[in-house]
Amino acid sequence: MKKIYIPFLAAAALSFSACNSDDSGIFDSSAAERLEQSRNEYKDLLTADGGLWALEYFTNDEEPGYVMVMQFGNNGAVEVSADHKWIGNKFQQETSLWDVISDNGTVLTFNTYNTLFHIFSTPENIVGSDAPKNEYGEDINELGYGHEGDYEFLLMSHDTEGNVRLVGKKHGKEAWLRKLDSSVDPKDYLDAIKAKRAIFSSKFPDFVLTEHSGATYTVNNLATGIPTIFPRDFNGVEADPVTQTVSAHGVLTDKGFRFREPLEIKRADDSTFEIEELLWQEDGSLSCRAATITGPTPKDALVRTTLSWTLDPESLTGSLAEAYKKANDALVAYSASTGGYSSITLSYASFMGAITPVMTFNVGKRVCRDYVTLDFASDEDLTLSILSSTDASKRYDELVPEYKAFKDALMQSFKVSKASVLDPSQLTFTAADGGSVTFNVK
Amino acid sequence: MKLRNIFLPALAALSLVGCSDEKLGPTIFPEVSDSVDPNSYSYKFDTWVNQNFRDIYNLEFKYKMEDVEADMNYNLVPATYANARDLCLLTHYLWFEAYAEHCGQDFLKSYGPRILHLIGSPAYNPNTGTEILGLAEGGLKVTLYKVNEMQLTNINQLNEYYFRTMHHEFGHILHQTRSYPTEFNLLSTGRYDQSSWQSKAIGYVASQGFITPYASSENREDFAETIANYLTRTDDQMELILWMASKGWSTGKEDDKLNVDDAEYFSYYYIPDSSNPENRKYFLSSNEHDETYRVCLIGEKGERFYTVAEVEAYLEKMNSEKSGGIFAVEDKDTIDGREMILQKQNIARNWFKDTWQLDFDELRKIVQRRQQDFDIEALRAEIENVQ
Repeated sequence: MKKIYIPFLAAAALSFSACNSDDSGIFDSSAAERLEQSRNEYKDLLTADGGLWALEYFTNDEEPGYVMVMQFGNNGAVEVSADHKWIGNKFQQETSLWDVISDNGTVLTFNTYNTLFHIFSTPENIVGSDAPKNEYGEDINELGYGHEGDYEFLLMSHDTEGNVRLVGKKHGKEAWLRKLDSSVDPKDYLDAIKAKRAIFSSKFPDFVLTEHSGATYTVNNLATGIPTIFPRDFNGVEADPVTQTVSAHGVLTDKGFRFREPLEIKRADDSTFEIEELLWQEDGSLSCRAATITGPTPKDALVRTTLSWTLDPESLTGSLAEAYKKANDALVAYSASTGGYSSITLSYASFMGAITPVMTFNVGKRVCRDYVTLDFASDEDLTLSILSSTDASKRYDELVPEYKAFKDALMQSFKVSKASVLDPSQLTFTAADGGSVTFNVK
Repeated sequence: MKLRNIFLPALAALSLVGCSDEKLGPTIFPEVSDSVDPNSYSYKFDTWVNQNFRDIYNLEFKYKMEDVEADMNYNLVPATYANARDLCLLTHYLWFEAYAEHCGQDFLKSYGPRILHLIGSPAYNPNTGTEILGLAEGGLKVTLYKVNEMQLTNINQLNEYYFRTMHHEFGHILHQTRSYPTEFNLLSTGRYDQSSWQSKAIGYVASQGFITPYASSENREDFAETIANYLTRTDDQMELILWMASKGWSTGKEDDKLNVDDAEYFSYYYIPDSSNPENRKYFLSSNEHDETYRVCLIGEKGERFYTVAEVEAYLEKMNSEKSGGIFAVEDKDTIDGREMILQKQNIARNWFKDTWQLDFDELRKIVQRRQQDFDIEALRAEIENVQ
């Protein structure tokens, strides 16, 4: 009998609830009305206060993200501003139509073609060196796919800080709209991002991500928008750069670097932590709650034997500037035809069978070399001293004492600093007496 | 068993009480106004569309793309606003008004599509190397692709991508409404080729009795192509296709077997090798459309010929220049392609007359005249003048 009652009760319960159209106990309005309400809310949100937004946008798995500026008008038109490689890295603006429609939920659609934006959705092949390749480097471009970017987005959520989260309707890639003040000039905004990208020197493609615990990771190719990250030092546990490397797509924005989706980074012991967006800090680093990204230290930069640095005479200050001027004047006085310094460089050369730092003083066409020792007390504290001088350099030491005096002035202890936390391509050496000199990477 | 016996009546009871005496309340959908917002960017265009398509023909001209309206398996993009506007005006002038001029607005009001949907890009089919130019769905919706490639000053391109496609798709709508005579299907029985029609040259398929390679894919496409090509192709172009249809074609291979890769090399004439007459150098191949979007024949050195007069003058010149003369490929297919195409046109002509009370030739004259005399600036002014 017990078996009989159970379905009876279930059926009875069903019969009471079946087709009950009054769902006011849960919602105050019908599903269609709620969709319409959501549609109107998002339309109002997007067009409010000038309707200016930055779209942070992703396409296929081979490309980084892109930033475009959208100005949503309440007349159904949107002015797109862009400056990306697919339009020749040139700032352009174009107007097309937009709407918020009810479809699979509330959907933002860019429903007439805009050259600057829909280029990412055309099915035409990606041309040139950017054509997708397989692991053997063969072109796998197949007509019909293109960049696989969306132009219809599900409006997922928005927060009080002016961020709207979108998900592409066809390809499912995440995108964000970031509210901009109506006074923002789209060109200035995109130029500022370009300038930030320029911070990432091609000479230093590797960065250091430091967890607050002190564990460090190497971040490669951040400037390309598709960085790879692997642990390099984790409390003495040896890391494996093959199995522990993670790669992710991101986009450089005016606020920082946003990953397409939260990135799970492997620690050396195979535990993980997550980062989603790194924000620019006042000191020029990129940081989130879990970690901070900085560039190589001055020591890291100066010990790279493939690099060459040039002394910038205009940067000299204090005692170093005086010594340089005296030496240069004395060289000209010694031989007007040879003249003063043509350049001074710091690089690496073979000495006694070992790759050794060398300071090269070019006087006119004459080349005077001094092999030096770079003695680092810390990442920023450096003492320069002469290891050995070539005959040409020794001769000038004897013939032009001011020449030797300037060389000696360079052979002392310095505090070395970077112009940017992320980029060590410009290093300033400051002596204890305040005199300083800047070396630029070649 | 017992359990099942009781459960079934319970379900039956449910079905009796469910939704029994519910009264229909107001719609759960919010009321939507059908008027255009005067402040909208597209107000004039949308108003013109409503006045000239929706109100007269009950047709929705859908140029603001919604991907759910298209096949989600393809990567497609919207049409540009400017091209959508121009194509809308031309569609009205070259298609709807052409029919209206011939038989009044009621014909398209009754049988025309309810939705015309524009898509900016092609729909590529990577498996076959083809692309979709147009679709007609259930007699209700016609979809046109490649709108962003529109060349306003080239009527041949406009026909190739849009207007021939529109007449083609409308042909489908008409024959899905009232069938065409079954004798049409019997004319080319056994010669349709659904899998490799796209690799065949127009000269070759014309000699088989098809107006285009696509017409050789299946009989209903043959019928739609017969209508669309007759209405839109100029006399010169139609004459050239019929000229090709009356000739023999060769692959240039010994066994003359079709290799789809060699489709471009179907040739009508050859020059014999003086030392070995069995060796033949074939020339004069056909091309469905080159960059001018016209059917043409291609000579020995790549010369293009778009009319019968041009090609005949060329053959005469070649014959006088070549010491051994030139020779036509023997027409071995036992089909009079020219007669076959004309026969198919005649079936379509009679079907238009008997089934629809339309004069196929008169309609063609109107379409041809409008193709030559449209003034896009004057048409655009119609939108600009919307109050």
